[in-house]
Amino acid sequence: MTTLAAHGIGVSTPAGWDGRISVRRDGSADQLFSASGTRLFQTRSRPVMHLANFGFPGAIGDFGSGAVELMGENDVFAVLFEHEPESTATALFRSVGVPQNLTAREFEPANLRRGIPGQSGYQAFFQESGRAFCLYVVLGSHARRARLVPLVNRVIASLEITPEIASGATA
Amino acid sequence: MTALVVVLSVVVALLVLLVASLLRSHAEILRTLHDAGLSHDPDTVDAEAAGPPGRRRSAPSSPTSGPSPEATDLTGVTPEGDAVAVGILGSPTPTLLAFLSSGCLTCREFWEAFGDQNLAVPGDARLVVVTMSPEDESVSALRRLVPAEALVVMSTPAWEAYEVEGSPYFVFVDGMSGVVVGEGTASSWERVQDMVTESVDDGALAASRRRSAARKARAARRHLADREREARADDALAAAGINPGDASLYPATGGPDSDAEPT
Repeated sequence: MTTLAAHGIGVSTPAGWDGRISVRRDGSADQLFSASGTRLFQTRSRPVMHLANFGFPGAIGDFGSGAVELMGENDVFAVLFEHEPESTATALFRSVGVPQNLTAREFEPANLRRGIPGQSGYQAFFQESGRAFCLYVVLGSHARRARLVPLVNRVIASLEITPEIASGATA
Repeated sequence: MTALVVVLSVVVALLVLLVASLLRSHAEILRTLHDAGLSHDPDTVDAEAAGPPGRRRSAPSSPTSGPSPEATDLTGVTPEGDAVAVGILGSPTPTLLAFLSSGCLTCREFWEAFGDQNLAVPGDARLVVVTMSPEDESVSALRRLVPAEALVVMSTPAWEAYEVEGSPYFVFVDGMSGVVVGEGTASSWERVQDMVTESVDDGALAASRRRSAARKARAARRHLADREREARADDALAAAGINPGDASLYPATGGPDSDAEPT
């Protein structure tokens, strides 16, 4: 097992897994101003974590574009995407704690952001340690989901999220 | 005239002595560098020189022979500061690890070559560039060198795990068997391609997989033998009227649920 940790997110990846925790570089503005020039609020880029049991290509989109197209039928790909902490107050993120023990029944092709034939997807929104997240998982084969879901569960079980560090908090 | 000839003879003799001493000194320096495992010319003494002491080094023509450390997955950071883990073990695709640095002049050619989107990686391997960790490497210099397409992991522990002592150095890993199939240094990408291709052609990759399969088969046979032996013992005990939990199986404690310490 290899330990990967950054930005208050830690996970143990099994042998042969790729992982990356990066701060999103989506080009979004860090500050929003009103027409009069008043700063309404300031955001900061949030981390996103990618995990897969296959080799990442050079560049991956936040939700796996560039990687999911390369998946074989025994491959799994997971994304942990952090939203603004204010989102924890919304109904979408009311579930508390990292989802555990996913079941094959929770995976559906309709959950895929990119509807690649044969694949299957899972998506959940939750909050943990005052932080809002989306967990998105893609299986290379819907038909093999019963064999692939345990691989995902094993990694998710090792996921640790700590509260946001005050110095890095939103201004 | 005679005096002039004598003086010139003495001068020539002194010069011969000087040249001989310089040659001797140069030879001693080269010998010392060789013993230390360092080389100034990667192409001529590359594989022999770049490997760490105490570890069998490959022949200059091929970096593929000899026992090497077992492969490990990599963890580190990218030059952009992302935390990254690279899975090598179990991968059906071989991995070519390129240990480079920002300060090594020979590495410049590789940094440029890795910017080619159509780069042909030998052995159909996945190319991963490994530099030392940010505390041991210039991140700003790396950012200027690293092509956007390259996967770069900054990890001094990876250099230690693969026992790499200098750059450039290349390690060809077979993830299926989890072993280093070939390794060595070179001064050009073409040379690396030749070395890896030779290692694959020489059957080193296939041999490592055969060894791995044989290890797994032996482990499976041992496991089955253990289970059969256990089953035979259970049958014999059952035939004698001794079933699981029988107190006679726990003579020191009196039974499986007893709290007594064994004597």
